[in-house]
Amino acid sequence: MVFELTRKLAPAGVAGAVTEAPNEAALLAACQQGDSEAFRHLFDSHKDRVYSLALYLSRDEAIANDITQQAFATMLLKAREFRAEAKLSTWLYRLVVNLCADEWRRERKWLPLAAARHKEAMSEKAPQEKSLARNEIAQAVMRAIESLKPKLRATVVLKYLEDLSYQEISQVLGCSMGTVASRLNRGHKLLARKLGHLRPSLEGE
Amino acid sequence: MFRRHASKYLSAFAQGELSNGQASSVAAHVRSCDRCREELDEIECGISLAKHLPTIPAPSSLYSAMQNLLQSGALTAAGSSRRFARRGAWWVAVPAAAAIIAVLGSILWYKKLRDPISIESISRRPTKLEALALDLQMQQRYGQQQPDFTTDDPEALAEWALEKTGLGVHLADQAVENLQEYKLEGAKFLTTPSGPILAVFLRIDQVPVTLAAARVDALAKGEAPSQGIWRKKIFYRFDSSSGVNLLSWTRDEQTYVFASGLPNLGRAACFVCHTNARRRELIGNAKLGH
Repeated sequence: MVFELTRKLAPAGVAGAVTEAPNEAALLAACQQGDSEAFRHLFDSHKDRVYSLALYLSRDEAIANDITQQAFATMLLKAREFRAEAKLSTWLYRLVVNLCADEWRRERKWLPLAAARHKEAMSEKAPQEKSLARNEIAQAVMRAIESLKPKLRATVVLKYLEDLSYQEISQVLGCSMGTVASRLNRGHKLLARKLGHLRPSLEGE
Repeated sequence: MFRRHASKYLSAFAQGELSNGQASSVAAHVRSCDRCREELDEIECGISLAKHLPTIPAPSSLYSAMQNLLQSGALTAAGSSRRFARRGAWWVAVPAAAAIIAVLGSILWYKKLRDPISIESISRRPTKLEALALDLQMQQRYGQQQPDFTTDDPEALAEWALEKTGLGVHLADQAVENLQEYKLEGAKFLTTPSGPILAVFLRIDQVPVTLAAARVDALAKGEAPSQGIWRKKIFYRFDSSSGVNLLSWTRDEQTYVFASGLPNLGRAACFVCHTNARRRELIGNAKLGH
């Protein structure tokens, strides 16, 4: 059986594809000319997800800070390479993944993220999610995902943090959709095996 | 539709990433297969957990750092061209780049255009790894071989092999390389006093193929085949009692043996790693020497 995954990209002419992308392309062109409002708009729209991705991949706050800045700086410097029909977020994620890979090659080591930062993040991110059980699950999931190997971690984070389709993940990571499916299969099983004891808390969601 | 199980499609199925036809096939298989139903249940549990992964807000100080860069003009189109223009020193950079290109070009020419490979027939006593590969091949041929790790995913195999034996084995990604005739079945490792030995089981055009790999220092001194300096050396032996072709070679401190009943010296086995068309042509055309 040949592995044929459905293509989830919006076809040309679909409203979502033609209304959002040109706005981002126009904003990008404006901030290349020094329009700080346009940059602020783009930065605010993407900063949390770009930073989160960098942090999950690098597991180091200082590196994540640097990578986030570098990704936005590269976005401005290489704005002309951005194709209007593409999604800016996908392009940014690709920059982050490449920067993290460069950093990993340079350092060959990344430290675990401090638990305190996790707690802070949880309370900042989801004040409405007061439930202790949900916070505990989220923290356990963060720790379990941190322990995955880099390629597996990148695939899982792009799927669940950024909600990308298999097709988009394969574009960001530069691998086949079959490889994405295979890595997610392994990631899901590892999470279930490590955190299966939390299953009762998930019921009813 | 599925020879055995639908494992590799289960996450894509649970996440609505399969085409309608494939999703129906997987659903029908899962209804009738206890193992796949249990596996799907496990994957769905993993998916429910992963959905709790939170976004972590970027620190507020990040924007002011970016703003400083913006105000300096370093990140605008005009600013960046000025910045690069100031770097100057082209009279140093251009000759250096030309020298690097010349050296790289020569290496590329040697590797890509000449890239010599020789296959040499050998008659000396079989090495420990060749004898083991032959035994394993016969067991695989008669269905007596049970892998420790069953997988058809080369990436999963590479991770498992590295973890269990410290050996690097990188087979081609079947989906990308479209090698329908090649099927990975699994692997096992054997512990010897001198170090671990990895055995990988696969089929090429339905013919069982065994790959045995070990570190060079796991064999007796001088036993591992020579790597070759100017030519990559592959050594060939035919075991007449079993009709098995054995190909041995050494690369990067690891030594390997392919054992198979494949025709033409069994060299098609090399293509599970060598996916480059030029490389395949070189291996395919290499003459047998003595």
